Amino acid sequence: MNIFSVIIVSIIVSVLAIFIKQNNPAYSVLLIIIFVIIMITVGINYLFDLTGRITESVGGIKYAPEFLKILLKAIIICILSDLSSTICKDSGNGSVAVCIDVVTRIILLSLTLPIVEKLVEVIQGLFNL
Amino acid sequence: MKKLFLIGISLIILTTYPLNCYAVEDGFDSVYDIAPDNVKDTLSESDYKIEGLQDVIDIISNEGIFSLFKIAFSDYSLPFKTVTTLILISTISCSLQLLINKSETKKIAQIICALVICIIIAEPLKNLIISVTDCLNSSGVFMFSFLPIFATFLVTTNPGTSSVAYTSTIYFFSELTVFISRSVLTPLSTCTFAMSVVSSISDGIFNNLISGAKKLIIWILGLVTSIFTAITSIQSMITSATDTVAVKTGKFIVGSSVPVVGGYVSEVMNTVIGSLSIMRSGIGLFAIIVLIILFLPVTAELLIWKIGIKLCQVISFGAENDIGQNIINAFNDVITVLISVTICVFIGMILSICAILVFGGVK
Repeated sequence: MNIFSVIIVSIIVSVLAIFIKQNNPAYSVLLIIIFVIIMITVGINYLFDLTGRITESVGGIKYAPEFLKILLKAIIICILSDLSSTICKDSGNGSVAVCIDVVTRIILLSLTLPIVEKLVEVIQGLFNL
Repeated sequence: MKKLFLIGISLIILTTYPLNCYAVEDGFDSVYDIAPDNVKDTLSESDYKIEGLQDVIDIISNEGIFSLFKIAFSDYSLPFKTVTTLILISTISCSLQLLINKSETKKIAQIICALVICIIIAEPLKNLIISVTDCLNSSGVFMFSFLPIFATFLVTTNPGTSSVAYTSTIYFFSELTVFISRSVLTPLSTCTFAMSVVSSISDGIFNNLISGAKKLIIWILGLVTSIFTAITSIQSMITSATDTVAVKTGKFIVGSSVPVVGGYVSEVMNTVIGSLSIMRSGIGLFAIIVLIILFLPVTAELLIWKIGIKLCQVISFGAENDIGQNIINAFNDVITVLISVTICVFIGMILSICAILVFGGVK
């Protein structure tokens, strides 16, 4: 899917959502959620391709591929949580949005734990040199 | 009969133990033997297949001192690969500004970027510090063994010199410099880097401590250079009277490009050039060769890292990731200290050897 398809589909979905919202707001939210899921699937495919290429290009450096994967995973989580939290806020569910933010931070913390552990190990190694 | 017997005994003794020649030959062999193992390996594994002192001197006489560069340099692709990765992460960090709207999530993502930068930098830094410490250790051990042999050699070839008395002073200062660099400066700069990393992530809690440690490093480096200023007091004896345009340009470039000790290096450049011209041949030249082979790869690697990090600083300037920038700056500071220490010790050692030569009566 190229950028023009994305733009055209987005405009159509927006117009459809406005029309549906007048009669049935619940279906409008559902439509938007389905659209976001499709777009994320398309975007993530590109992002996985990018991750593969970046990891390949830094192959010679110790720890780089391993931790770059974690970094890119964290970025994907940040973007997804940002999107879903915005959708929740738009549909009037502020508390769900806050919940998403909190859970995202916890997931990010657990995701970065190997980096922090390795960093502590390396810093200890530097102090012991 | 008695006279003939005495003459015969004398002839036998003289032919069996030719004192002066024996001392000289032994001096040459001993000097090659005391060269650090990695230097001997580098020499024997080079294209020239050097197996002894005479081979080294032949190559230098035939191809000039720059032939050593071919021997000493190795593969330096790692700094550029690492810098490319750092630039890549900076770019990712920069794109985060556009992709993520929430400032809290953005901050977390930036911290993760900074942590990854730190991990990628820390491993090569550890290896660099190990190489510098090894280099300082090897040079210290070499000088420890070389200076007494050199002094003995000078006394044998120039009887009645005052070099032995002077050697102990030079020897003491040379070892002191190596000790300070290895045991104080290098660990201190490593600790500064570690504190900078922690400080960058935790809103600058160690900032005052870091600036204090940096001042201490510069102060100690100043002390070390002052020690060797004592040695450069022999400058007037060594330095040639003419200060050519090439030397002046070299002094300016070194003074403005070498960090921290640039002024000192620029000031003693004439002395170093004078020293090298004195030691065109013999054991002194071999010592210089050993020191060049020991120090050149490390210094070259450090300089390449410095260039790479500067490049990274320039390219990722607009990334607006302060944490990542701080870590890169801290890494740059450590590299700067390591370059200063390496150059300072290297020049100090050359001057030590030359000082002993001058006081040993070599003109």
